[in-house]
Order: sequence, then structure tokens, then C-alpha cells
Amino acid sequence: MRWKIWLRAGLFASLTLWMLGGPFATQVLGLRVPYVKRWLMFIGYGTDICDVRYLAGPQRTPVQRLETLGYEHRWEAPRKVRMLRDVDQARRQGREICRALGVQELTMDCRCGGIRGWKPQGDPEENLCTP
Amino acid sequence: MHALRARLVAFFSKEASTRSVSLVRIGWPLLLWSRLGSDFVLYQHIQPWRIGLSLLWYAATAAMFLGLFSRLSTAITGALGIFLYYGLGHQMGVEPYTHHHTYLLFTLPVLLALTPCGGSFSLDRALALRRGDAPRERGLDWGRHLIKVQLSAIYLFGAWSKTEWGHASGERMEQYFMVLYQGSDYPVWPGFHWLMVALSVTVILLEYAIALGIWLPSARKWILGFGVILHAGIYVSLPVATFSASMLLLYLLALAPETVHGWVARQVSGEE
Repeated sequence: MRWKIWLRAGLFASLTLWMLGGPFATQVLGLRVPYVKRWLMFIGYGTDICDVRYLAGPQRTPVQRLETLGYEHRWEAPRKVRMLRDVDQARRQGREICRALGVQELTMDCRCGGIRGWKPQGDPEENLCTP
Repeated sequence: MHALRARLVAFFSKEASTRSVSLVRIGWPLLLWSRLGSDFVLYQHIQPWRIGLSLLWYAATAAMFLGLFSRLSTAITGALGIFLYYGLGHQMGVEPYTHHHTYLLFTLPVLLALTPCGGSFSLDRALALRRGDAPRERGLDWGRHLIKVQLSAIYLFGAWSKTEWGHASGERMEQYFMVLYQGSDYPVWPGFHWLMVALSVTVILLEYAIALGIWLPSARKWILGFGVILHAGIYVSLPVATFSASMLLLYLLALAPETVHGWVARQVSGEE
């Protein structure tokens, strides 16, 4: 009977060590331990989105980008238009907005997602209407 | 030393109602089938070994659901789960099998097999009753505590991973909102940023509170109540697949087994 108690205790200790010690070693101590589970839910999720504001002309007038591109409501715009995933996509859409508005000068404030928060991207002085 | 040993023996010998672990044994295959059942339909992978794997997986999960050779079928489901996570997922590159919610789905049966999960609502029990045995719905309780450790670990290290400026500042929450709903235009409605900060901080604190609270009988009911709200919110707003449902099912094991036993009795037959 006693050996059963020790078997249960051994199993309990080993599995507890696996469940708590593994993530502790990798996530808290930063050790590299293969096969150990790390509970990093949604760690990279949402990092492929940019927050972009276009500004037209020397007065830097804010542009309603989706309206300018012909979408009355947000939900009418295709996902690839609504979501700008990196600074290059933001530049490309900026050029479309230049054509749609017929302006010579368009700049953007752009910051993109990262696992530690927003990261500024691109040059806020860059004229997107210049080929 | 003697007292510690006595407490150890008492802990690993303690019995409790088997109803809560049995309910999880029934619910878990339903979650597995809803998330992964279509992957194991035979025509999906026609290599002989994959067909064999699918047949074994369906047999084991069905037996687990029905409570036939309950602990063995649960153990086999768990062993297959480990293979699916580490073998197919990590070694053979089936990326969806490496997700957090699939890890939990795959490996939890290993822990469940260490509980008397066939003690109630099972063919095992029905057959025993037919033979004239009248097994009491009681069994060793230590395995349930292992599952509580797993539950705690998920919340604790989930919260730890968010305990950094990106989350505390609300910026990561803003990114979730924008990638799922808003698109690349930062919302202009007033208070958006502070709402995201409040949501982030609440989630982090709540996760720490649940990780610890499930071990505190006096706080458990309240903490789990907030946990239900948290998971319901996550389920309807984020792409979490079966994760919320899995966690809520495991809440049954955070409650005292006699509480669940009594609740089921009252619902089923009005008995106390």
C-alpha cells in the first residue's frame, strides 16, 4: 500500500514540476528548454497591423482614407484595403490616395504593431505623391 | 516530519465524488471532436498509418466519451494527444496542432486518466451495476488537483507573459482591436485608449487572481465567476476556438467535488 502512495506522490511531483517548472524556466528565467510548454497566448497576434494617418497638402489636412478610396462605410472596404499590414502597404495606399485626391503632397504618420507595443515606421516627412 | 508524512498519506489517499471528473471526461471528447474531428475523417489523409491513427483516435475518444474502459481510453487519448502535439505538430510541421488551445486539448486527458473519471456517468459503472456491483461514486482525488495545477499554470504564466509595458499601456489591446475590427484607422471615439488600458490591466490582474484564487476556497466562487465573464468575453470577441470552453469545463474541477455532486443530484433527480 505504501508504495502506491509514493508512486502517486512521485507522479504528482513530476507532473507539477513539468507544468510549473517548465514555463518558469523558459518564461521567467529565460532559459532555452526544448519541448517545454510556454504559455504565451496571443504573443504575436495583432502585430501585423499598422495605425496610419494620411495628411494632405502643406497644411497637413487629415484625410479620410477609406472615404477617399470610395468606401462610404468601413465594413464595405475589403480587408486588404482596411488593414495595412506594413509600411510598404501604407506607402502604396498613400500613392492611390494621391491619385484619388489629385494632390501633389501627401505625408503619413505610421506606426505598426509589435509584441512590445506600437513602433513608429516610415518617415513622416516623406512625400508619398513623389514617384 | 512525521506530521508531514501523515498529511502526504492523507492527501494521496483522500477520496471524493467522481462526478466532476466524469463530467469532464464526457465533455472533453466533444471539444476534441468539434475542434479536430474533421482532421481525422479518413479521406483527409489516406496514408495507411494516418488511417490507423484516425481510427485509433476515434475509438479512444468515443470510448472516453461513453466511459468504456474509461481510464484506459482516456490515457490512450492523452498518449495520442502527446504524439499529435510533439510529433505531428512540432516535428512534422502541422502548425495548428502547436497552438495553445490544442496543447491543452491534447494533453489534458493524460492528467484526467489519473483521476477516477469512469466513476460516474459511464458504461463502466452501468455494466458494474448490471453485474450486481454497486460502485460508490467515489475515488481518489489527487489527480483532480493536478488538473488544478495545470489550470493555475495557464493563468499564471499567461498573465506573466502580459506583465510588460506593451500590454500594461493598452497598446497590445489596441492592436488586437484594430486587427480584428477597426483596420488601420486609430479609433477617434473618446476614451478608446483608456478603455484599452483598463481592459488590459483588468485581464492581467484577473488572470493572476484566478491562478491563485482557485486554491482559496473562500475566494473561489467569486474568482471563477469573474473567470466565466472573462472567457465569455474572450470567446465572443477573439479567435480562441475551443479554449474558452475548455477552461470553463475545467472550472468544474476547481470546485469542491461534493459541491458538483450535490448540484448534479439536485438537477437530475431532486436528491440531496
